[in-house]
Amino acid sequence: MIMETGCALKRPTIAHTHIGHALTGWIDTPDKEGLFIVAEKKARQAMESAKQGTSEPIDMARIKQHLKEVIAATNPPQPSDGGPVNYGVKQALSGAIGHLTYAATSADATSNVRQFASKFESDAGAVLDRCDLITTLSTDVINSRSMEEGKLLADEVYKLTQANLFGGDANADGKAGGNPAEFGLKQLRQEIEAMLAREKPPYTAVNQWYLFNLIHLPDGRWIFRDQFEDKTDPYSVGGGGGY
Amino acid sequence: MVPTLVAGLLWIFGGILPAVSAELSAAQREDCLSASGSTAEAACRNALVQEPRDAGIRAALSNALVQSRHYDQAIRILREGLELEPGNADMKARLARAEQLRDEQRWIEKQKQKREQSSTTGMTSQQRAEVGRMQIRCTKLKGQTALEACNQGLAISPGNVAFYMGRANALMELERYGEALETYEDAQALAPSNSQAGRAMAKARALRQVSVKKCLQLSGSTALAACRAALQKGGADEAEIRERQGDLLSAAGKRQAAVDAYRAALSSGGSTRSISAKLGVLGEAASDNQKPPVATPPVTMAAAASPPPEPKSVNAPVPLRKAPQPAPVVAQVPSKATPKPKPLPEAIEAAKPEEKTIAARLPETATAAPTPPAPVEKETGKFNNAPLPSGFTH
Repeated sequence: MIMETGCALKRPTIAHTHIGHALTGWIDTPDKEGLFIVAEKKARQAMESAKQGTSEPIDMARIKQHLKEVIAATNPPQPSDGGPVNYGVKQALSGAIGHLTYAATSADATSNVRQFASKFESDAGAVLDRCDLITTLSTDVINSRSMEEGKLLADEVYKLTQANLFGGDANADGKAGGNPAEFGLKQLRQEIEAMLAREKPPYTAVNQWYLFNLIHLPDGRWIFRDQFEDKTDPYSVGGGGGY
Repeated sequence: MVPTLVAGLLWIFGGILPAVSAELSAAQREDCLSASGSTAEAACRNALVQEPRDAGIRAALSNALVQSRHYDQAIRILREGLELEPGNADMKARLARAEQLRDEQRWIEKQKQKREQSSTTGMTSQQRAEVGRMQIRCTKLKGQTALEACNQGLAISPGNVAFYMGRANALMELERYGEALETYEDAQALAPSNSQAGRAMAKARALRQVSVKKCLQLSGSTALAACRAALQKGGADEAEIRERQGDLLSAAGKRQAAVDAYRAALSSGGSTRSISAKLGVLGEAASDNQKPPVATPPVTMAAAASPPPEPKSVNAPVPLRKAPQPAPVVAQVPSKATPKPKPLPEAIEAAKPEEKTIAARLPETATAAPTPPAPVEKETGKFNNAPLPSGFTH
């Protein structure tokens, strides 16, 4: 539903524009996709690499290579100088949480968005924690000299990557993602979709132009770049172009 | 002639150099406007040095800097541009947008830090990951590697039942049934409804009882291994097993290890007179380096020096904990020549480093008394002639 909604011609609310950064587009993600969408794609990549790691019968070097790919898709090293973000599941989801909670701070955010934001932030914690665990266990495999240990841990990494996408079953009740501690991106997506369905005015996917041309003025007002013509505002000129 | 030559060269280079410079500048401008990432950023910086009033280059540079999240640099570049061209509307809009992105990013980073620091578990995300890592290593790996992970896990997350269960399971694999039993008891005390611990405890108890029998009735390395398997700190038979370890080690010529084992037996409430006599015998031997190790099992001498121990049934259920008896004073050992015994805490320190975190719960003799095959005693697999504790027969 999130991806399929068409573009809106009507000017979106500021809160919806920030939500759009998580769901539709953001300036520095691969292909400028929405942060949550990037998280889902990276989680799938991590799971596929981890699966390949478990299907290597005897070649430890290949298992290690697959696990390096898992780290790259889940929580890649970041530039030390604060340069462009290397997006993995953790960075993308963390960014999505940031923008969704930021949306809740907008003056035009509905109570629905506000209530959702804090719950979503809390519920997404399980996936973020799993990202850290996947990274540290994958590193153990990469550093391991024991084939038996490497294979056992690679199996665990695979299970964790599956849980990150579909939810886990930590309490062994036979139901994956039955509570927030077991949540994966699938359950988080359901939460987002439920929130969007409750929105009034209804949420529609935000046009790319609005996503990349939202401006917060020093006096606290939010405007889009094409509104940047008011002679009374601190910059007092018209707009054009965009990032 | 020379002035003519110089004039000619100046005419030639004066024409070529500006042309080359203009060509380079155009190439850099093109790279700046068409490339992306660090390539665009470098090209734009170079092009801007040559053309500081080119608003297109400045916009492209600010764009590249925003893309790489260097918002402050982008803001500085745009402000410089507005000083040169105060009425540039596009630059003003870009500046406002860069400032907004910077503020938004700061807010998000601040929230992220808050999120990482505050959690219901009271641990940072790094600590949580480490606990998770240790839990998986503890419960999924095998033997010593698993045991080390469980011990590390308990050090950072005391009271975590999964670590107790994992530790106990690893100890079972390593055939250290006494310690396993003790750890299952801890797990059950923490989670009384844990039926898994109850079942595992019954198995550990049964295997331990077999080990106690082997420890007390067999000889040589088999018996020593069985003693180690059976040893349960705080168990009713701890002193008896430790004393037996001393006997076996003494018989194997491992004098220092035997002394350590006797000391541990005394500390765990063993018969002071009997053990002191054995320590005395070892001390006399130690004072005369020419003498070979005592060939006769010292338990025989001990039997002469002390009344037979109270009958004990190894089939009796093992009590959960026995209050430690006061440690006997060293002065009770009757020979001045007796080597100064290693104090118990030191023996605990001698345990493997990874186990030090819960050293107080680990057997002191686990590493202090290695169990190579006894050189003076042939392994028969049958019961030896050493006197048995009451209640046992050959």
